[in-house]
Amino acid sequence: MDGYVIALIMFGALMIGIMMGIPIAFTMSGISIIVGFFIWGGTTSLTGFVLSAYSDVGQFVFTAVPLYIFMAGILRYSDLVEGMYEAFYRWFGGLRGGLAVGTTIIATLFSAMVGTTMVSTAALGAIARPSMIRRGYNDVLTQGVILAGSGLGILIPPSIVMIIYAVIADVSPGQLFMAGILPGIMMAVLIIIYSLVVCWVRPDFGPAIPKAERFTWKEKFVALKGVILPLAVIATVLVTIFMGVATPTEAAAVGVVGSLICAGIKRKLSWSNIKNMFEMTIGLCAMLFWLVIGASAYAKIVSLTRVGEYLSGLIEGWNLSPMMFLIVVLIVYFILGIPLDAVPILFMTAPIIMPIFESMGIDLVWFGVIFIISAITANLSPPFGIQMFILKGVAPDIKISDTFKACWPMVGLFTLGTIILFIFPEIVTWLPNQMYK
Amino acid sequence: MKVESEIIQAKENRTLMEVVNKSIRKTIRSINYINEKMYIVIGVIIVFLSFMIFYDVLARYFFHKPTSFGFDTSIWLTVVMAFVGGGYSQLKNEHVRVDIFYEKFSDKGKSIVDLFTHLFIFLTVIPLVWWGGSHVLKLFEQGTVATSGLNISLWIKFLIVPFGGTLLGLQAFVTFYKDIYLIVTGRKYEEDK
Amino acid sequence: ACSSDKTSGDSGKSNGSDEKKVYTFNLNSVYPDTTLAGLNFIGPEFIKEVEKRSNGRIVIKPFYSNELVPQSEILSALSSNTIDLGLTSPVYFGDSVPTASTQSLPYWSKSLEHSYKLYRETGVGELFEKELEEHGVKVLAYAVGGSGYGFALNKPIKKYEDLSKLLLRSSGWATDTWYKNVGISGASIPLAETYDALQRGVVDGTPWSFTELESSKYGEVVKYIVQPAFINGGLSGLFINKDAWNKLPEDLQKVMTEVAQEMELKALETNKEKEKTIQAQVDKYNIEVINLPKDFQKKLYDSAQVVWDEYAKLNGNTAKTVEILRKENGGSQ
Ligand code: NA
Ligand code: NA
Repeated sequence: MDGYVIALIMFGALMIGIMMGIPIAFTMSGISIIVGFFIWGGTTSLTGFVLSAYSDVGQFVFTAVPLYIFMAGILRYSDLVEGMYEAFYRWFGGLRGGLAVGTTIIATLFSAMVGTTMVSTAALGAIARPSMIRRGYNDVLTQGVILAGSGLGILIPPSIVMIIYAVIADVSPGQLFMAGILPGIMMAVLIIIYSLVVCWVRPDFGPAIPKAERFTWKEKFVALKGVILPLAVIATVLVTIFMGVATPTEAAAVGVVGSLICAGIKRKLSWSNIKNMFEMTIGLCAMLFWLVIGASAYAKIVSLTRVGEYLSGLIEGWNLSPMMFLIVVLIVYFILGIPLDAVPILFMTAPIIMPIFESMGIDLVWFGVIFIISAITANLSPPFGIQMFILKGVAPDIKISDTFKACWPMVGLFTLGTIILFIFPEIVTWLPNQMYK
Repeated sequence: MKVESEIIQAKENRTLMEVVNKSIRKTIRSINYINEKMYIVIGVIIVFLSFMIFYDVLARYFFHKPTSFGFDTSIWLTVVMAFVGGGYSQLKNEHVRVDIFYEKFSDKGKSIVDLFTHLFIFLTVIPLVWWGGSHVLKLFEQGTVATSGLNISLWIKFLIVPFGGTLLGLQAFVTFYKDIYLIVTGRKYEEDK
Repeated sequence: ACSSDKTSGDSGKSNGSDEKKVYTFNLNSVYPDTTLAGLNFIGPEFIKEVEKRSNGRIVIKPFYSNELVPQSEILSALSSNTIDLGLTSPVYFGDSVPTASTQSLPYWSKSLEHSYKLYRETGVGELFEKELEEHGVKVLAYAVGGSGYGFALNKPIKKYEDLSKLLLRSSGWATDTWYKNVGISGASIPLAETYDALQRGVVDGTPWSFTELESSKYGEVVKYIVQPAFINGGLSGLFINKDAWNKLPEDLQKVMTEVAQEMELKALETNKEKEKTIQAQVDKYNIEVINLPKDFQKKLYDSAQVVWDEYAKLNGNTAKTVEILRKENGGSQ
């Protein structure tokens, strides 16, 4: 049987397994073990699988994964969002749409502390949303800014998806981190502009706090103390990286210690909180690493089939320009991204797509950022997306039809962002080039 | 008389069934307990790891004296966390899956899908335990010691592979049993009975 | 995982059964397929030539950049026949095969040709091959390269004592031991983060091959290189599982051996040419070359002897290796 036929069967079986609801990690490893047995010398392939399982997880850069998850857990159970929200509420409440702006800024700051999207979704869904709704904010707009703002968690460093991408694409995690900053800020600005425009057109969507209820300057400044601790954590991590104290991987440990101090100051280190932090760490960590184990088995068998060469040849025959190829890939990613998360998509497609990118001379750091935005976009597109369910989880009164309505404009915003980055790739590459000159 | 002996026989069978049931319950509870408690193992490791790297960074920056074992230990502990957590995630049903269709299936339907899940898990776990175990033995016989910083025997490092595989395999055995129970009896297996 | 199929075509006419058997091997390489210079000859070129001269009876399927097994597991994979051939630096075998680390000893050879001679003519190679044999693995060919492996720094040094002010990336057991003796602080930084670390000053430098300042882009982030280098030639090897080897009929073994020998020499010649590009790379990045005075060199050489001594203690083979090296290097430099 030709290699590419085997690869096609594998991909088909994978899609069927995943759609049926079999855990992705085991669908990947299970299929690879069956196929590997037949095309890689029987039990020989099993030895190959076992030997790789250890070493593929055992890479120093991956050490950052549990550390950043733990850090997110600490911040999540330290109720930092309340203090931040209060500050932005007092400062921007008087502005039409001001709370939407404040929520976006908090989500952006949170994104600079955690490597995932779910922490800010959960925290803002529980705290910012009820307060905004009470103030007469439109629920569709409210959910939209929470979901889109939290999505930035994987675009603005630190980012677990970026770490995994860096390992797969063999690029420097530090460089990728730098590359995500400006696009992240750009997206935050786009979300803010969007909210202000919406509230300008429809004042009832985001009413300002009545003059009489507004806060005094003193009250405003007092509230700033809620922002100090989070900013200190962000600053500590960034400064250790910039000053050459620690590599981006090691900086994760600095972030953990900083967050622990932060939690200690807020007196949140009770045993029940610590238990929650540990449970979040083990759950996410195991989920991601068993994906790594399954995916590395899958990648090996896919490369044994030589499908990459076959596809490169095919694509060469089509005479696609790198640009056209990229667009095709992004459309495929978007479709895969509707039911799937970024990391499994990356694992499934990398063994096929990365070599083609390399031969086309596409900048893998730039593409990393584009990939992450496409993953966020797909995650925001109805009807499926982990963030939507997390939001629904913390705010059960939500009508899912409102969530869908909230997401579409955000999908539009992120698509616009992708187009901007295609036209002006410098937004991605400028900062890393400045840093690395 | 025949009837009486049949009754006795039936009674004996039932007690035997009860004993089997009881020990299965006990086994399930023990497996759950072990994997449940792994969050403490991981918690201790992650706290240790954080402070160790933090210390290493400070010692390097301020005193030019990083530890010789920090780097290697970080890698190994990451591997340990990865493997140890597999059973926990299976217990909590946290291995990521697409549930678009899955959540619409009946309980029985879910159990049938999960027969494949278990097939795949066992396919994954058996090599980890069997071939991983024999690799450990081989490393043990060779007496190879790592020279990369955390200079302990390689077999100790690699032991986590069959160990983690076992934890996941045991937990998968539990969920598999529950699925079979549901498919056969049509009822959900109740944990505390 | 050697598989053999009968070729289709005019198989009916042939009578010698061995004649129509095709031997297919998997090769796992730690290097990318775009690898330049000498390594090509024991990789892609070797594969092409063997296939040609065996009239297609040996087919080697290469998997580059560790597609099949991770680099740390190549010895285990070769030994268990999970892969048939491996292209890698023996350094990765160090934990299991003590003599694999010979080329990590500072000042172990004087030049690329010297390295080659040490391995192929003085018995150093044989000692390594003997240990490898115990794992069921055989050496097909060496590519000597990685010339001018020395200190690439972003802080200058003038005298021997300056070294103890440096924090350098450590590249394993040998440098660790040496650093300790000199007073250099060593830090482990993964390769993926070395560029960042050099750039941000997490470390003051790293040992690196001066022929690879451009390909690694480290030229952008280091300001000085220290000449002379302390490793003037390391080897990568093409290895084969012994069972896979023994399955081959003698004529095909001969083809492999012949090609290997030719490619080995071509690799050496190519890498000698590459050595000459160091100056161009230094110019390109405006790197200052620090030429150590003779007494400084002597001190460094002497301080490195502690690594040799430690190495000699590992087992009889490493002791013999060190003995040969001492003789061949004339006791001192
Ligand atoms: Na982030
Ligand atoms: Na979606």
